[in-house]
Amino acid sequence: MNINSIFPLQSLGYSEIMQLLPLFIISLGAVFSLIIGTHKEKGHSFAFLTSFIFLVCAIVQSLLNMQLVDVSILGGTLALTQFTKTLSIMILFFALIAVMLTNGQDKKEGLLSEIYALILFASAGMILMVSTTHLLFMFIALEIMSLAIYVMVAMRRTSQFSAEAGLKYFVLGGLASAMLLYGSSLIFGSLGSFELVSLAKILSGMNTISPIFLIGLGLVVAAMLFKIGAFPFHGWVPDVYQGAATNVTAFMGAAVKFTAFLAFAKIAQNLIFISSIPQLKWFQNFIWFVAAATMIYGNFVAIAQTELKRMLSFSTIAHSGYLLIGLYAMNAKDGSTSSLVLYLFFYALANLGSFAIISLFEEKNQKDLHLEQIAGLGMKHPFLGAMLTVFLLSMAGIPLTSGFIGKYGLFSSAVTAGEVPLVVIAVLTSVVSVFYYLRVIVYLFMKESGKEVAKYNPITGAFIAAFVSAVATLQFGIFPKAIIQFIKMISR
Amino acid sequence: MTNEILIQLLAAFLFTTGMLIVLLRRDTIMILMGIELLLNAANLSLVAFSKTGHMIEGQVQVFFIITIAAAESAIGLSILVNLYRNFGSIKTQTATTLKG
Repeated sequence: MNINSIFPLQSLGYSEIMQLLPLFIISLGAVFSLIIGTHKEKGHSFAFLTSFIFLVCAIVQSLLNMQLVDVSILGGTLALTQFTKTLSIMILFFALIAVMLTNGQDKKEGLLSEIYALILFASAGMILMVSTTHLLFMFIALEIMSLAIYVMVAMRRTSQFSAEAGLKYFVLGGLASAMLLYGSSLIFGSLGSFELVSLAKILSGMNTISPIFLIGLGLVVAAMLFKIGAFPFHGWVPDVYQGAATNVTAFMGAAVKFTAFLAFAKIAQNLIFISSIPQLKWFQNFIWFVAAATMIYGNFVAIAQTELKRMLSFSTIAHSGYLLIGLYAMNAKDGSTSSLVLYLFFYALANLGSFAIISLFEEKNQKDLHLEQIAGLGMKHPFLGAMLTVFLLSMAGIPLTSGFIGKYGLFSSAVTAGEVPLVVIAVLTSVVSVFYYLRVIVYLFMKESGKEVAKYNPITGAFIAAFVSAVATLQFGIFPKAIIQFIKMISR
Repeated sequence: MTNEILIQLLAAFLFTTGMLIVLLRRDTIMILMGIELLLNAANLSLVAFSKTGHMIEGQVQVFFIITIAAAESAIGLSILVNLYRNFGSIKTQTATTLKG
């Protein structure tokens, strides 16, 4: 029997291979940096250099690929369009900043040199996840990403916090991925396809739906809400953010959230926001409820926090709530995908930057930075204080920072979709959020430094990472027109 | 009842059992076994569905899932060893340093 009759492989054309090249490059880079990282003295710097160079090559290749025509590989499983290519460039950019941030931290926190390879593996999984429209492929991509992140979280081997955070994330993450898998199996059983686009076509021709599909969809939605850290499934977020090394937290908060949210948006668009089936209205109402609850819970609990990383982790939950409004608005209006992407991108920048600054002031194996410890630091290190201020203002959504542009776009798209009550809740809770962001700034600049003031560890990598994020935050905040038009054009 | 429905019921039963083990047991080894059970329940249901629907897709996917389950248990065990080194126990109630 001929092998081609068993496995009918398509041959890939030039354009397809070129567009898959960034994925090959970062996978190869990960393998190389694994091998080269075993060098006894210089392992860390070699691994850093390898992963940095390969990431830059992947970004350059992806930028070149933007001119090529859209292709879909494996019968539509992997769709490489302008939109997904831009998302993968953003993910690679986050990975690049995370690699910069890890350089220097790795020795301080006792992280192994394999962490660079893990960042690259995770970003390969993320790129696959935003590009695919196949439920099981999405599961595999999610696992490629998550397995790398579990290890990164537990990588501070001598720290109790890290071991505990790793365990919590692993157990709950494993549960969520199993729920996604079983849910997609039930969806497959009831409708006979894994492909999101064809599922949407089947669904829009139906009036009623079997309960098996509803159970499956419920499991999938629960798994995705877990991954983005929304209200009833948020329990792991503060512990994991606090227990992981700060550079890992930065990468998680930016890139994992970005990916999981875009995957959830894809699932919601194709499986939930279909008006012909009355039962799907329950899921829409559920998302409405989750968005409101997440915003209220995240913002009000963040007020009570006195530790910086823990406060930012609760604010991350609150931001999931804002993003869910944008997702809910996609129900009525197609154009709100672009505002979702913009918000995610700007939030990720502010997130990376603020954790980079925190990592500059942390001791080895420190659990968190208490507010008292940063009192007066802004006067001692004015430049770092100013950068942290920019990031916090961006998260709060103050004009001249990119966070304002993101929030404005998200809320206005929700208003045009007719979701006024949600936007009112969002605006009120974001007023609450300004309180705890400004409190940090008050501690930075207006308090006398106490006894236990944090020591500044000059680490070039983290400093550059923070600087790049600050420049990008201000640049997109003051001159947002180009990026808004670009994202609007490609997300059509 | 036909065989297909029985197999689906078995898969659902296994999935519920696995979920209960993960949520209720305090022993990390048991939790790992629970996660394996969850993935295997999904495998069983996928195989049965693709047999019923005469589609090869689900059965092929099971191989990928078996591989991923192996990788996941390897990582789970190493996280467990790390937990034991730091806390001297693999019970989940000993690891309670992060609160707030």
